[in-house]
Amino acid sequence: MESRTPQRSLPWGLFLIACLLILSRNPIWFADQVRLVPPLSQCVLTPDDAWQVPAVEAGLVDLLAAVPYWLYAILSATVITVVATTLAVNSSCIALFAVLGLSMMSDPLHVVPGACLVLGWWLMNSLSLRHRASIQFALLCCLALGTVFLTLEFGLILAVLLVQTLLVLLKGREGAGHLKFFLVMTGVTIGGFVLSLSGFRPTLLRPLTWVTVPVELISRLQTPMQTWSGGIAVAVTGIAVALFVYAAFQQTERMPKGRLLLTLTALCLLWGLVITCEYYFFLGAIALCLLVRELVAAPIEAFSRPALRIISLAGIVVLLGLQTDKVAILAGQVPQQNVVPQNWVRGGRVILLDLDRAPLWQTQQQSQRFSLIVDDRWDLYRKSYREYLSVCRDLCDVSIDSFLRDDESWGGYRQKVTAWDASLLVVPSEEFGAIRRLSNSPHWKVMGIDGDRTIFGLQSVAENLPQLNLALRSILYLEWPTISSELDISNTIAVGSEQHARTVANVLCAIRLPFAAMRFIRNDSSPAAEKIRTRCYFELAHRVYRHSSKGSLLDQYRAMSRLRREVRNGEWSQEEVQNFASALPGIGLNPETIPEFQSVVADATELQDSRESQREGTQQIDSESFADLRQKFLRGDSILLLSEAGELDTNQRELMGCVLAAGELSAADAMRAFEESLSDLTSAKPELISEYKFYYGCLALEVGEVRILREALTESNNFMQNSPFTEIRDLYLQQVSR
Amino acid sequence: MVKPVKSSQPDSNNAVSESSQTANGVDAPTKPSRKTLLVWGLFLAGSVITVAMGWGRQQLASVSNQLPQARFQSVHSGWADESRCAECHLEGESFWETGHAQSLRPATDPESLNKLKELNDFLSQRSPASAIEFSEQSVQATYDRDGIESRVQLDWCFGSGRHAQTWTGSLPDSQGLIDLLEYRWSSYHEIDSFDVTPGQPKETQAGYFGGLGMLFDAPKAKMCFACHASSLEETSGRIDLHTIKAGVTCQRCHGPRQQHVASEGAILGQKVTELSQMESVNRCAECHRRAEEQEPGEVRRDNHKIVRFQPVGLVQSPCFKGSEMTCVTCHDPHRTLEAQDSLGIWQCVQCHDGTDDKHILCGAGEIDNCIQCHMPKVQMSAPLQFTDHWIRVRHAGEAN
Repeated sequence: MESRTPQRSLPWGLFLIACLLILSRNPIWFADQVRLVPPLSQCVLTPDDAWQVPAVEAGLVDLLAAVPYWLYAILSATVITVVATTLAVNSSCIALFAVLGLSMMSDPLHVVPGACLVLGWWLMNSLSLRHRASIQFALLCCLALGTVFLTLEFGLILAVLLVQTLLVLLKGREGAGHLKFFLVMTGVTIGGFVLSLSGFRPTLLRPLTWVTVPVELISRLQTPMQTWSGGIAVAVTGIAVALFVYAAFQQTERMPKGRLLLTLTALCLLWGLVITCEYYFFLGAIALCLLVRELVAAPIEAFSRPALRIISLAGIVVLLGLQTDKVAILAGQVPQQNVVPQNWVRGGRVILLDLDRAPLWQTQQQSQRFSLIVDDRWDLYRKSYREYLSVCRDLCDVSIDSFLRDDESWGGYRQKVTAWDASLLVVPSEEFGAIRRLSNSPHWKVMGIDGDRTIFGLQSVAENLPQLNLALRSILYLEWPTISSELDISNTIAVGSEQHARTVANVLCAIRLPFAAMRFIRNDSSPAAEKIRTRCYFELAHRVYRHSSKGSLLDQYRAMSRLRREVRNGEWSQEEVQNFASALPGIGLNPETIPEFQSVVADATELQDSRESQREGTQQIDSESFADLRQKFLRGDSILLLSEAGELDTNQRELMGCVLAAGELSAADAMRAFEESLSDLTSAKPELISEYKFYYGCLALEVGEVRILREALTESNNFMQNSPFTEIRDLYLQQVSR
Repeated sequence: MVKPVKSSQPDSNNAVSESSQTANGVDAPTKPSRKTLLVWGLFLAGSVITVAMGWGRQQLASVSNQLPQARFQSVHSGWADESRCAECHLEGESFWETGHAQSLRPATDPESLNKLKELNDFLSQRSPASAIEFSEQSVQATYDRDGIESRVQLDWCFGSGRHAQTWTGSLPDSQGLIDLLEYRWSSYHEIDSFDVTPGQPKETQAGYFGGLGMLFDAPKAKMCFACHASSLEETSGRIDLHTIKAGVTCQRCHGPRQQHVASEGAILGQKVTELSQMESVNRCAECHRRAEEQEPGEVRRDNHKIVRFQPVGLVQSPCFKGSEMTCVTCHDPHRTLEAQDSLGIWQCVQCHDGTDDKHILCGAGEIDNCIQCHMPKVQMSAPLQFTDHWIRVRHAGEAN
């Protein structure tokens, strides 16, 4: 009795773990819906002979087109548990590893194919069917047909079924005649389908042809090891399989060599599929676990020591915990995750830069209103992808008109977009560079931003105009809040988690709206948010420099002191440091003169050297020492400042002290520090007070205190009308007074 | 670590396994034979190959770098040293005098400096708030508005001077991308003097740069260089100003010719002269504009703005539609306009020679100077004139 209890409870335990892991991957699991069957591919470039999943096309499985996420979690966990328990019947860590790997990478669209694989394995190995060969044959035929009618991945399933059939035949078991017949029948049927249905063959070959698809379009065709969770999934699944292979090696003499060779070859191919293609990880890993089971006589038990079991379980708990940044299992309110395009427009044709997002546009509600140019069905569009990718690249580069390429083909997006009649462009929100460039496009304007995608609308499409105007007003309102009105931005910007808020902030900063960006990370002090804040200060510093040719002590000191510290601490990648080095001339600094950037600057930028010196030459508004100190502030040389502050008069020291403090304080605290300091100013020069007031106003804008901003900037203007900051001061006042 | 255990349930694979079980039911490890070791060796090798292929696939799967580049960015894809073109091609000697070859030069080029000095004298009379300052290494444009000085360094001079020349300054933005400031004042050949740059308002605008000119963002700046330079290198959207090959030179139109030079003249790929009629015009239209890329409704007889874009009008012409003519029927881009015979009538009379009813002779009875009526010069709003390439019979009321 004692030994049975854990065996009985094991599947339930595994099921629970799988369920929790799958649920933890979706913060809105209690409200979200997913598809368990692939959508019909009805894109602009869909070929006439495209293969569609017959059951979906016939409307036989509409129920599976939108199932609650929790139900998917249960179904997926069931499949995973069955697979795991075939590997280990006792409370083995192998089963835990398999559950962990499969749960982290489970995919709604692969639950049905996964179930087919499990069912196939059961039909092949079921003791109850061993003596009922005809029934087994009939069921196998039904299963083979079922996979063709229900899934897109029948190529992989049929291949695994055929390997399993061959393995059984090589075992020389009774009923082999029926299995041979099944083999022949399957071959003939597939051959018939291939010959008679022109769209069938490309779909059958999906598990092979994915290799040729550009990963820029379908990122899930990259190795799963590119992400943290994918790497862990590969590792734990690999451990589980390796333990089995090791056990099999010890029992190897019992297995016929042909069978061993076939199994190992199949394992080799499947392992290759699993580690190179995230899309096929779940299905490939299920097939791998089922096939590796063929190598040994009985399920094995490994790492059976209780301490190791506890450690494994603790690892799973930690994994669950690590995902809590985006998990709201216990949250009571459903956070809005994405903007909803159907709230803006009746429909349109959509260009997706990342085709992994295609299923989101092919839900029942959206597919009738929006049609994609292509989707992630690479079996249908493999030949179009290259051209599509070229157009996407031209869109991101804002290459509008035709230009000759080096292969003598023509680039430029205008004619293609016109031919496709596209009206929406969806860019992943992490593509900050592309979003930045697109924000300059004369055709595409922002319609909505969320943590997942940034949606641009074609300005010439009349139906887009109401939302384009609302979006413009919304993001300008965030950047320049006004006293007179309030605006609901929820239709334009949606944020569901801190992670999403940071992404949105990065997008807003990329489109030159740093004040708006910082409003989304106001209470976030994570390292990632701090880096965004640095970017925003840099953008602000550039804005002031561009409008005045004079560095803003406040913004530039905050930007440079933070940036240099973060670069020293290794918080920015080499590429990012290189990018900042290229951008430093944009705030009047030569990267060669700043120690943290010297290593990444290859050639001297003589062009900027002379420009910088000449620009600064026009800024001598105070004594020599104050000008020197100002220059050091602009470079973010915080260490040198304290020793030199003694040469300044009281008012100058006050200003420098405030700026220095602002580098470490929140905007609200820095504003208060400026306020106190301003009240203590005695007999200061008007230009100094004017500059003081300007910075005070900028901090008020950052905090959102529009009244204080207006007062401060008006007073700044009164003290010195022809200050270098006049243009930017007027711009700020004009924006908040609109 | 791993121990085979007694099966707790009937096993489907027991045909083989049962025979290997010991009396107490526990599997006994057996020593693998050579054949078995060979199989496992193959498995190991296969696994390594699979992983290597997977890794290789990751390297190859990114096709962005394999996609064809813009020709103006293909300088590292087999470009030849263009000074060698003249060794075999006579055109290679005179070509450098053409407007194409001189369509861009550094602002500090002697010819540009001379113009800028003239401009400075002009500004002292016409717009005292504006000035040009010269130093050893650079040229700066300044504008004084109520005591606040705006300033920008002029880096490039766009245009050959056949029509006009405009200066620009390069301004890095907060991501290091290069924006361009198009200077407010241009030099015009027609008046041999200076005036406000085409497309810019006559009055100065607000903002720091409002008195200096007009700002172009990075993508637009790139397109300026794309048509005035033969190649520019770009990293993450950043133009490398130091590597720009100024002017439209041989390989900008003929493509990379390193192999052609190395093989001492082998014809590789399609010759420009063998292009189809429309493709030939489109090659020129890459910079001189295509008709289908004008905004809707712009291609009209009464729209003088399109006159500046010669291919736009040309492809509307009955002469173009009814013949095989292209831009190079009349123009030889290897020669200066003055050296070309593009103003004569020999091109017209190839068809309009009185032998074919379709190609009528001049209704006004003229026998030469077809251009004057059918391709007149049209005055733009700036002091610029362009030949209207929409070859047609102009009716009364159609302004020239």
